[in-house]
Amino acid sequence: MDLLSFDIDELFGMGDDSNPLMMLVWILPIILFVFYGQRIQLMVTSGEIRKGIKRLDAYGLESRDELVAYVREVLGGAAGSGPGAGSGGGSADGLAGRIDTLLDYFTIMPADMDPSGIVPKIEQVVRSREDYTRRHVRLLCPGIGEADLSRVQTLLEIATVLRLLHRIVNHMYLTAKKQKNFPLILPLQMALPFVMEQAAAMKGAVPAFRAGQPVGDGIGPMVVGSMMAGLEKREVAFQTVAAEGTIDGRAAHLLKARGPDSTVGRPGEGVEALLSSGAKIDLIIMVDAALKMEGEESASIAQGFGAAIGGIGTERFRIEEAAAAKGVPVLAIVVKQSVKDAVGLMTREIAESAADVRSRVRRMVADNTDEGQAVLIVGVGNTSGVPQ
Amino acid sequence: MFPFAKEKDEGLEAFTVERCGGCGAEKKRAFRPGDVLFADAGRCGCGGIQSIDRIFGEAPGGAPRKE
Repeated sequence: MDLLSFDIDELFGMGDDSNPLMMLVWILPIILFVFYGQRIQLMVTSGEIRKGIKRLDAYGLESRDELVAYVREVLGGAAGSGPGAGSGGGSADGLAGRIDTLLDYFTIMPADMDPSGIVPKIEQVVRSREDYTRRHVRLLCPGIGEADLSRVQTLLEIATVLRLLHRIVNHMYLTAKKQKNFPLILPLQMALPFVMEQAAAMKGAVPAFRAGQPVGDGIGPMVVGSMMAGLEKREVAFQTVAAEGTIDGRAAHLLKARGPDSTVGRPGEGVEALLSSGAKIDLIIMVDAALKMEGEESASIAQGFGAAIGGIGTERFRIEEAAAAKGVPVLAIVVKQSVKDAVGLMTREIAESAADVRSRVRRMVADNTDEGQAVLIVGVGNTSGVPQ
Repeated sequence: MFPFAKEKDEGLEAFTVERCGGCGAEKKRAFRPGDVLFADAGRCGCGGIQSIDRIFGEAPGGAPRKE
């Protein structure tokens, strides 16, 4: 058979004697795509989204199982450690059920139709939730130590977020599918890679928090904690400690969350307390982790102006209010990192950037204040594995 | 999302670096439960006091993690 002798015109039906069968080969797909294109695209996209949903579900379940396992481990350890220990939620299978109830708690944010005065309301809702969770973890694990309590709280938060992400994505997908509505699935398709990145980062963070290791977000507390070494510390706000030292002839007030528990403390309240204590502070420097942009190096350091602190915004609000009231400038040093680096075990590059950040803090103090003045240096971030 | 892109989930191994406050010598070892930063890590050969300077994760083989 001679495979090389074929007529191009005949193959594509371009000759005068065009084959009607070949014409159909061309026309049928066009008709198919005109009428069913959206549905075909929906089917292709659905496959990818379904895989994502399956993974989100697995993340949620695995993190919940790890939480239950950790609570059981803590209960085992706490059982002999105090009077009445182990009598609360320990009875094996009530435990998983009670944890599931905690995981399903939701938070209703205050109405923002009239946004004036909303910050204290948000703060009250968020703190009520934290206090409630803390209280219930204590009831679940009587005799639990502060470090374990903070870890259980963090693991609970991770499992709750993962479960919520799964529920939201699944809802959007099923709604689009039920209504055969392709445009509805487009935003989901666009957002899913970002959601998956966040979810994978949170799932990957579980072992680090369980083991009490420092995470990338802990670079601020790590820098300030090392500057606090050997100084006397005092608690200035809930889970937040301060110490006083000197840097090149300037008084240095140092503030961070109380480590090595897994907490971010209440730096807003801490800054307020220090500024209103009568101590004259001429400059505030905040050290924090910041999300890097694509293409930027992980662990690169940047300096800037303003309060470097993430979260829901209430702590930043407090710091800005207190600083503005006293006319104190706020400078920031951030260590850039990806979401995965920020919530997961601190990478070598980030850990090694601490020395450079310390020297930049010193330079910033020297460049922006005179001898005899005072600075407040705040290490912002989760202080898991980072004492002071 | 790229349907054909395979994601590789590489875990990090945790390490602890102890540093001597006297001579500055550093010793890297595997992370042990209970390790926290700045904790006392005993005496160095030079007589100085060692403390935990860094705790970090490294991809197996020491290669930096790819983003």
